[in-house]
Amino acid sequence: MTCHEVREGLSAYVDAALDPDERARVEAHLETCAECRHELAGLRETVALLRRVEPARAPVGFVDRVVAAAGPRPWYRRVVDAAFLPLSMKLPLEATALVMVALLAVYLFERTPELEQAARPETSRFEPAMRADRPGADRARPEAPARERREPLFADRAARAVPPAPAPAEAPPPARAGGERDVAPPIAAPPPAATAPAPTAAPPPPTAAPGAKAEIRAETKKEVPSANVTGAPPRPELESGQRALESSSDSTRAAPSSPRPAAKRALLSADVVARVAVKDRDAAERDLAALIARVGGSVTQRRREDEATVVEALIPQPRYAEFSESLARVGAWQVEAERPDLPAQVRVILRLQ
Amino acid sequence: MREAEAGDAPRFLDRLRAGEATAFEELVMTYQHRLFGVALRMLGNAGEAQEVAQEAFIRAHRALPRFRGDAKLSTWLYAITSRLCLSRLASGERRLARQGEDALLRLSDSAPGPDAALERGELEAALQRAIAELPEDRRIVVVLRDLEGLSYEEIAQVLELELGTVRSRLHRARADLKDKLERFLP
Repeated sequence: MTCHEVREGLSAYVDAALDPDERARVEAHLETCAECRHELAGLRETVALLRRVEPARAPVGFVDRVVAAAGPRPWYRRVVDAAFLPLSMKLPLEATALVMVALLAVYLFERTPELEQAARPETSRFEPAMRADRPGADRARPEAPARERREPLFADRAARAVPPAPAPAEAPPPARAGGERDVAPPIAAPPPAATAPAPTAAPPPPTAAPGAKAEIRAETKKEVPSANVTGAPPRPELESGQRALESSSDSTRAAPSSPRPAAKRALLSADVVARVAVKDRDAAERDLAALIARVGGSVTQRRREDEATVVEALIPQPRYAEFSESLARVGAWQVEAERPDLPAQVRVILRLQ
Repeated sequence: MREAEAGDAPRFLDRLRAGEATAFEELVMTYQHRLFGVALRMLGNAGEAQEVAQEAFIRAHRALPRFRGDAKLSTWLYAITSRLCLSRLASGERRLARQGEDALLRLSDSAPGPDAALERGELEAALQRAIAELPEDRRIVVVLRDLEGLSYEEIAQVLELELGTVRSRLHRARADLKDKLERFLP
């Protein structure tokens, strides 16, 4: 065993950390090597010196500071800490998630017309056509919200279904804007073909914002009843009747070749909308004309379609009861909508089919 | 003399794991000087040593529920403290060690006479300086062995080293110290 090898093990020898064989070899070498014995003595004295050093003592108050810093955590805090993220991370994450969900919902709603229609079944189907018919009214609403981006969907439909009225006299004045909610659907009373412009000549007004205005109209329904075209109170039941009529002629409405601004105008001021089931339309038309003449009324519009004839008439209110009774002889009729308080001249729209 | 070894008694460990505040306080009281001493010898600065010792206890406090008891509690605490010290020394963020007397004066709480104090102060300053000049990997071994009294096996466990590595590092550290402290040797 060389001196170098022995000295490598001397430190462990001092600590009695050598195994018996190593220890025996080191002791055998030390008996014969004075230099290594000197080295061993020096190591022993160094270790003794180190062990004389007084142990360090933590400063006064150390325990209190550590305990305060560690903070005794109650059991429920430990469970929460282990199970969840810290609040400082969780709150911003939750807030971000909420905002993201909200943005996603708005985005989907904006991008999905079907969803929007489902959300507003009362207005979305009719309002665009009326807007297209009322550029003046549209311009009178600068507050029309920023939903115009999706307008083309509705504006296009509206333009196809109901182009603007060609005659200036027939154009509704802007002052009627507030009463648009009360207007009738664009379908029930088709106009004379002579007054119907070509669909291509009826672009939607540049400011048209059907979806937005439909919403506004829905919101202002209860606020502006006095803006009604006829000055009559709101007629929610009329609207439902108009929808029924409209749905019965969807195919007609969707066709670009059959714009009916006059029908819409008629419905704007209709007081009664009814459907009359007849066997012979020609005979029924004659009977109806005779009945109207008998009660002192007048036919203002008549339009023959493939499946029905739409007749619009003015009936003097005092004789409306007689008219309605006699109408039963023309055919089985059913009131789709009726204004509660009829004006002096009751405007009636009848669909013979 | 050091405090009596805090019991690794199952009951005490259970109380610690259960987060009992008084048990943790007992733990800190028992080991405060040892952990502070290791940090002081390693860092050479009382302020830093206090920071590190406190951090070691706080980390232990967080990890106590998961302490399985495979190692002795003291070994585990020394391991946390040693890692913190070595990490701080290696980080480069460590503030310049203030080799001030404040640290050295804390080495003893005895009240020796003026001559003895001078002699002791000189020796301890030389010791502190010699230890501080050791490479960090040797310094931690000699501190744990000769100042804290850990066995070779415990040091190997604390520092996650082979037993032979502990032995050779300790030998080199002692040999360095012997040369530097020669004038204090008989």
